[in-house]
Amino acid sequence: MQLLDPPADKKSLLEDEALDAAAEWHALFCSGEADEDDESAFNLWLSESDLNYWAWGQLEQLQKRFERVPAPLMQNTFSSVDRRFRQHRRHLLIKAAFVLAAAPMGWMAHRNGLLDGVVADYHTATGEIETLNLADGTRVMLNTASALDVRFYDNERRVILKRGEILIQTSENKQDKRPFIVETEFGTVRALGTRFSVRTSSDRSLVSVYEHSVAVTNDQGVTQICSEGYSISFNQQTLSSPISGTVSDAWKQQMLIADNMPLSLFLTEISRYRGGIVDFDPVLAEYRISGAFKTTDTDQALRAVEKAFPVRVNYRTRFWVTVSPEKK
Amino acid sequence: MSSSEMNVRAQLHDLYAENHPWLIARLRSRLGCSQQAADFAQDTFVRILTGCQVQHRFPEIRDPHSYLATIANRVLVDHFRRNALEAAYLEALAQQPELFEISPEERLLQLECLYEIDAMLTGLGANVKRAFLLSQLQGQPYAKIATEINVSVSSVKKYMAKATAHCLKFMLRNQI
Repeated sequence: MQLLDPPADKKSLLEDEALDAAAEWHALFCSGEADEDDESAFNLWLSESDLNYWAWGQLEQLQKRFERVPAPLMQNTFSSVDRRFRQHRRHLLIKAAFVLAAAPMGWMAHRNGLLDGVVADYHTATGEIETLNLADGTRVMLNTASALDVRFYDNERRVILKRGEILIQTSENKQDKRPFIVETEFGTVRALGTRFSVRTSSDRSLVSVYEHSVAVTNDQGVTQICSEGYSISFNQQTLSSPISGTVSDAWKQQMLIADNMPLSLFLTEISRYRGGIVDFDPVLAEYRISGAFKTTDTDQALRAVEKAFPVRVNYRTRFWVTVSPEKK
Repeated sequence: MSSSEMNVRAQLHDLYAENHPWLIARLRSRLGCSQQAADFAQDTFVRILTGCQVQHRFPEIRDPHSYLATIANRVLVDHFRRNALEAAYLEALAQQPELFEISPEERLLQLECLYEIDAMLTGLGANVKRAFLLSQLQGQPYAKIATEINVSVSSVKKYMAKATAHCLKFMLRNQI
């Protein structure tokens, strides 16, 4: 089924607002933190309009849905369904491999529209980059180990960055009035102009703007405009002021460019393109590295590190590398 | 039939006539099966027709292939998602023999309910969904959920409000 469309008219907007409020009240009462003042405020809200009263009643309807299936049964079903679903999708992908092998070279470099790759979603493997041409003319590049869902509707163009990093060049088509929105776990980025990147990790998202500007809103609803040459970091609780500087987009040419970069950060970056683990001693942050490195040859980068710094690179396995200061 | 309804029918007919062969071919190469391709292509157009009936208009389509691919993808995803839910449900049933006394009709109803709730929870972030299910299905207090998913209690409260609001709106949009 589709995700939620935004409200279509004033009536729907008011209904949504009432439902939002009902949900907030419900969460407050379930948290056990509500006091007498809260209860008075709630009663006031409830009697304010028929809509509020209706919204509160909807909670009971929701509860009834959940009670149709015994809780342990529902719980066990939902805990294993995602794994099974992924297996089915992999099945679909394997069959598609035959199609990819036969495709002409020009088509391999760009993927146009959907029904390609993972059904309705895109992902890149470690060390892989990919360019997408979306139906509206926007170009999106996915960096290593990234996953992106594309959800275009009649009234908005939304992409959901589930992990990794993307570079976006929105289309020149001024006739498309739909807002372009990048969503991560921590908030949304609304394109007001052309070129920017979004990167997400387990605890925050980072936006860098190369041309014009974007509006960044975190889960708490705080908004900040980020202009050309600046970056903003955000998660549920925080939204930084615009920071001067942008993350390098050299990865689009499969390069990692270090400019006086702490070695620890460099090794973390290398591990994104290599896969597996690159373990390192935190004291390595004291060393600084500069240079241009191919993201497609991480072994070469590691050799360069070993040559330039008093460190030992230990290849415990192909996918487990440790870098430690050399003991003299 | 009103003139606007006829207009919608005409546009849908054109969309079908011009693109149905392409869609079937695409699906066939993806799925490796002609029968399935035909079924899914059909489901795709049915879904578009339903959308027209609900919204009382034909959608504005800039690129028919991209549009059809999007809708077809949703049909495919729903299909595979339901398969996965059914398999997970049957396994969960098998693990609780006392619940095996549920009649076949009741099992079908429960499965439908699971499809609905699964669709309802789609689109929630991983942590939000987890928090919601821990509260709803296991009755865990917010403090316990907070430690379990490693966030603050105030985040749990926000997640719960967000998830609940999403579910309520979903019910409203889909008139269930």
